[in-house]
Amino acid sequence: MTMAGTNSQAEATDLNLPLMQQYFREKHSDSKLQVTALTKFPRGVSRETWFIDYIRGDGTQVNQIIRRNLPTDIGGICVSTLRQEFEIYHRLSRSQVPIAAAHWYEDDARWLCGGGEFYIRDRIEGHFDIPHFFDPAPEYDELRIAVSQEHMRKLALVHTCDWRALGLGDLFDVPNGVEDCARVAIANILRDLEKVKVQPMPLIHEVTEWLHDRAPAARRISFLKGTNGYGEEVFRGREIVALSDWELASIGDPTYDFAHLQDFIPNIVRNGEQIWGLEQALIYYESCSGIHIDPAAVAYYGVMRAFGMLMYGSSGAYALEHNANVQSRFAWNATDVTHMGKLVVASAIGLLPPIDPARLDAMR
Amino acid sequence: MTPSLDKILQCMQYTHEHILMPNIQDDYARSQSHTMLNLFRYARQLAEHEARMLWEENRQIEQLLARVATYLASLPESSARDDLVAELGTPLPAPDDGYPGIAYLNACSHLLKQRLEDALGFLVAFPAELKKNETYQDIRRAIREFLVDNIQREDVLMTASFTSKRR
Repeated sequence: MTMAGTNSQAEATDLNLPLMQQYFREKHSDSKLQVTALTKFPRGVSRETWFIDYIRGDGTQVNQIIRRNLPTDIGGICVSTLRQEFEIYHRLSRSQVPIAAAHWYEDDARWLCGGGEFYIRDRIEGHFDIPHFFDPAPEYDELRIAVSQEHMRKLALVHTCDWRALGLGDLFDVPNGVEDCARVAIANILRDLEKVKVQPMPLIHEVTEWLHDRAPAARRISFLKGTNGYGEEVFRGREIVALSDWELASIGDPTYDFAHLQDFIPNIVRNGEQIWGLEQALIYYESCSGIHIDPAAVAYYGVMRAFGMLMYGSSGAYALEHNANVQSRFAWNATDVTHMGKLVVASAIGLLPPIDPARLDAMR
Repeated sequence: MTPSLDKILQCMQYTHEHILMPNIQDDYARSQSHTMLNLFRYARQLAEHEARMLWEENRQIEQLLARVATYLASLPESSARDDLVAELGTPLPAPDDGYPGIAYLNACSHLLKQRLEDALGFLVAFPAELKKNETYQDIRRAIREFLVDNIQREDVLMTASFTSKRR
C-alpha cells in the first residue's frame, strides 16, 4: 500500500488514504469499498496527478486518476481551468474519440485536504513511449509511419466529432465562421496572457498585428486537441487507446493542431525519396477526415503556437512572482522558454533571422 | 563583500553539479537537478550583467519614447493621443532611498516597457492607409530595432546559461 504520507515530499495539503476511502465510499454508497493504493505522481507543472486503486464491495478492482489543481492560484503553468479539463473528458466520453472517462468533479472543501479541487477519471493502461520510434534506422521506418498514421486517424476523429452536439461549444469561444478562426485563436492567447502577464511585452503588438494581417480562412471549424503527439497520447502496442492532455483544447481551424503536433510526423527520406513527412501525413489525414490542410497554414499556426509559448513563459513568471516556493520548472519557463518564444516569434515575423533548429532541439 | 555573489554561486553550482547530481538516483529529482544547473548559470549571468544591461536598455527606451512622443504630438489631437503623450512625458520616479539599485532599475524598465507597449498598441491600431506614412514607418522601424536589441541582449545571457540538458 502506498500512501502520500510515506512520500518524503508529502505536503500538508496532500490527499490522504483514510479520507479518500471515506470519500469513495460515500460517492459509491459502498461501505465495503477499500482503497488499496494512493500515490502522488511526482511530476508535472500544470496539475497534480494521483493514482488511486480500490476494490468495490462486490470485488470489482478499480484503477483511477485524481487530477487536482496545484496550490498556486492559477492552477499551475496552464491557465485553462481544471473544471474545463474535466468537462472535456466528460463530454468526449460520449464520442468516438478514445479518452479516459471522467466521472465527477469535486469542489466540496470537506474532501480537498486544504488543497485544490479535483476530478476523477479512469486510468487507461498503456504507455506514452513507443520503443524505437526515434530510431532513424531504416528497419523502423514502417513502425514510425504506422505510428504517424495512427495519430492522423485519431486526430481525424477529434476534428470530425460533432462538437456542438457534445456540448463542447459551451466550453470555448466559438469562431463566427471559417474566416474567424485565427482571430479567436489570437484572442484566446491574449486573454490567457492577460491573466498571467507580470511584465510588459511590446512584442505582443507586433505579433498580433502580423497574425491578424495574414490570417488564413479555415476549411472547417473543428474541436481541437491543442498539444498533441509524442508524450501526450497513451499507446497500447501501436494503437492510441487514449488521447490525453487537453489543456490547450479549443474550437477553430484543425490546421492549428498540426502546429501543436509533437514528433509524430517523422521526416523519412530513403534513396533521395521522401517517403514520409508533412506532405504525406496531410494526404493520409485528408483520406481519414476529408479535411484538406494547407502546409502554408500549418506554418502560420506555427507562429501562433510560438506566440502561445509567451503565455506559458509568463505563467511561470506569474507563479514565481506570487509564490517563489515552487519547483524549478517554473523559473525555467519564465526564462529559457519565454526567451525561446520571443526568438521564434521574432524570427517568424521577420525581425530576426531563422533560428538554428539545434537550439529548439536542445530544449526538449 | 568577499567572496562575491558570483563566487558563492559558482561554488554552489560546482557542488550541485559535481557532488550532488552524480548521487541523485530518482529520475524526477535528476531531471529537476538538470533544470537547476541551468538556472545556476543564469543566476550567475544575472549577478554579473543585469545592472548594466538594465541601465543601458532603459536609456535606449527613453530615447526611443522621446522620438515616439514627438511623432505623436504631430498627429491630430484626440483624447487617446493626448493621454499617451502625457504618459510618455511623465518623468520617471526617483529611487525611494536615493540609491539606484537593481530593484530601481527593474522598476524603471517595467515602467518604460509599459509605455512602449502602450505606444505600440496605439500605433498598431492605426488604419491601414495611415500606416503607409513615411514617418509612421520610421517610428515602427525604430521600435522594431529596439525589440531586436532587447531580444539579442537577453540572448547573450540565455546562450551562456542554458547550455546543458534542461530536464
